[in-house]
Amino acid sequence: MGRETAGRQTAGRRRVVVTGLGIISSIGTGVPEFAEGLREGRSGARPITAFDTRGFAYTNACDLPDFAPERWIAHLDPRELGRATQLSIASSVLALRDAQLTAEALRDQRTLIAVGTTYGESGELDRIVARQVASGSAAVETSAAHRSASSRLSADIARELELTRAEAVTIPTACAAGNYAIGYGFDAVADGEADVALCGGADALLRMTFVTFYRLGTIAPSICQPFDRNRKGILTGEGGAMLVLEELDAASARGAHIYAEVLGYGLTCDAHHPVAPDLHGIARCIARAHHNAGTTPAQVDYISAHGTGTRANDVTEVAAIRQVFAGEPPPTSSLKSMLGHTMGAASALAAAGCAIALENGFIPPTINHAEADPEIGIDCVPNHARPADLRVVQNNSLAFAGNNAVLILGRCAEDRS
Amino acid sequence: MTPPLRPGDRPEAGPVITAWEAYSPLGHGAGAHIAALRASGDRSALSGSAVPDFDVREILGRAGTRSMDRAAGLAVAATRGLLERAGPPLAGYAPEDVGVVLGVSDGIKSVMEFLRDTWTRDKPYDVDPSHVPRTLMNFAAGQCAIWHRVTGPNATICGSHATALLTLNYARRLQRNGHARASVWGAVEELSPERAAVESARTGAGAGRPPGEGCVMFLLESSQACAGDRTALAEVLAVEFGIWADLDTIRDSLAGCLRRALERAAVRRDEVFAVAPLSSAGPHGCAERAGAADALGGLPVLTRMADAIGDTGAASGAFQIVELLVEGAGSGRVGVATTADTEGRVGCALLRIY
Repeated sequence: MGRETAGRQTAGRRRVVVTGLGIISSIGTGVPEFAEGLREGRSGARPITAFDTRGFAYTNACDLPDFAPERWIAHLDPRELGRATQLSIASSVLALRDAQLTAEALRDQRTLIAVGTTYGESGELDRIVARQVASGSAAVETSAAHRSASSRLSADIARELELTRAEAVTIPTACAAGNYAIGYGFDAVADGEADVALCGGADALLRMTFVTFYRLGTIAPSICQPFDRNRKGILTGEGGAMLVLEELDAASARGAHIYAEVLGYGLTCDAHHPVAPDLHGIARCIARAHHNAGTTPAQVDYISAHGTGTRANDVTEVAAIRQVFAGEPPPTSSLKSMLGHTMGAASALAAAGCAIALENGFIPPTINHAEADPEIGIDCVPNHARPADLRVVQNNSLAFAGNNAVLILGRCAEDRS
Repeated sequence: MTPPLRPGDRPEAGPVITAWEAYSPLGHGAGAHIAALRASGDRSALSGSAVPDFDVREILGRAGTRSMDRAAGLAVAATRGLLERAGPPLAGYAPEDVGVVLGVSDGIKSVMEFLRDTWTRDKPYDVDPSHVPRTLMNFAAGQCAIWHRVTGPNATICGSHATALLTLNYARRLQRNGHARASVWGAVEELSPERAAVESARTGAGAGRPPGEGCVMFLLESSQACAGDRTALAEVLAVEFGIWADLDTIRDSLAGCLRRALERAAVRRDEVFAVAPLSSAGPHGCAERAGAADALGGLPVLTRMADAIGDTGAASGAFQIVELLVEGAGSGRVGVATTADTEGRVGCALLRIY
């Protein structure tokens, strides 16, 4: 029983398109600014101001010093929300506006809200612990306790928008979480169980995240250089990206702007190591994504890599790509060179970038590239965006716990059958 | 009366639960839970506490458990028991065809311990790197995969007290959409002073049920696939959710959610034998029971599990399903699990129990 690989029966599956993008990133908020940032190869890196960095040798990150939640959040009180929740709501509001959908129009629709995250509201737990240590008391700050639930990243979107028919779920599958959430939204809409999916990821820049990756020796001194011979690691970052997914016919019927089509996705688990990536797990995931999407690696015009800029990730990820792609892999760039590692938001921001790239016919660059690494040897689209006629793109994401998720997006051709 | 057709006889049948395993204050294993629920007598013998005699390193051995938190230990142990119960390695499936879907809450203890080190040691980064993995919410699901060599989709789900029902829906969709042939799914919650303190700050001390802990893991298969020694214990007919705007709307919101689920599953009210609500203390629980009565009529309300083991947070819905499986065994009738969390979610699952 069940020895053959699980594969999707695509017959009867509804086509799912991306009709709205809500983006809050260190290189731009909203589609026009973010698209311009990708095209210019803008860097979001700057000295950290979110927390005290005394005692650390390196102190850069890709944060959002000007993020003002009250600009986007009207119904709930931003002071009662943790920063990751603020980001998830604000990017959802932006996504609906971009899709030209009102909350009222969604109220009677079956909506799936899926938000991926790595650290969720752990920043509020840090606030509690810091106060306990400073005061010597075990008391827990009540307001921080309320804000500290990561489950609120999804529920509070529904409450802000009063989406009474929504299923609101947080998917904390670490640094692959954005792709997980988009894949889940895709399945729910393709299968006819949801009319609309509002899905993506959000994470705040936390002291905890910075400490963690600093201790693991993976924080870069000043810039992130994926695929570079002298790459030195990640920069931590923050942001949010939410996508509006709808069924193609419904989107066309209301005259929605269509960025791209979601063709499919795949998930695998390395079942190997809690933090180290595994070549075979990643390669299987890429193959499954194509099987699910009904595409082949040969059709892929561009790969948006997980591309963290650590020694371990880049070599392993590219080896996995080579294992699946028979010939020379297509151009493969890392948005993390510009955005830093935004954790659970990373693959959602990258998926938004892929949708923009498909629509506008360019490949976002890998910036900060000085010297190619012969051990890697791929076309990483160094430093400058490149015009390209893109039809199928692949968005990779890998996470601690061996959680891999690969998403396939395509240019939406109405006559595809 | 003709017995209802088994789900395997109907090609359109929903996925089926074919095995389960549980750890809770009631004990280790499904058998301990069945015995406790079937025993008559004092229902308040327990009220929220730890899983007895559960030391992670004693239960799982000393290899690979040094930095494992209690939640991961419970999930790995419950998965081990489940797979032993299910028969041949991985119930006869290839490792890449089986999904692991685990419902969790924030790992409050692991995160706060880690953070305390960053504030109290000489340098903020003077932390133990082996403590890093367990600060991530997907650690336990990853451990289940590593320990039992399951290489299919591995997902972690979070949604307050609605977590377990959201997890069931994720596992159901994973199979419907071709990502897995079977899933090991369930939910876990651990007891710790840190969690108790944070939750008590949210609800007010003593306002909720006392905190409990536990884990339930289920095997979900397609109705066509279950064979051999495994038979369907329950068919998943519908899982449905909604959002309430304020306390006054919980009742109507849940009633509406239940009516949609009944309609989707084509189930009549008189086919339902009982409802197992989250039944939290206070106004949410009252509104939940009222909404269930509005949609389903006056049915037996099962809360023995929650009364016995306390507030199991993310795992509560899984224990509600266990109570339905035990109470409805052999009936062929429909059991309903409901939830109404404090964040805005209502939800329900309709299961035909065999």
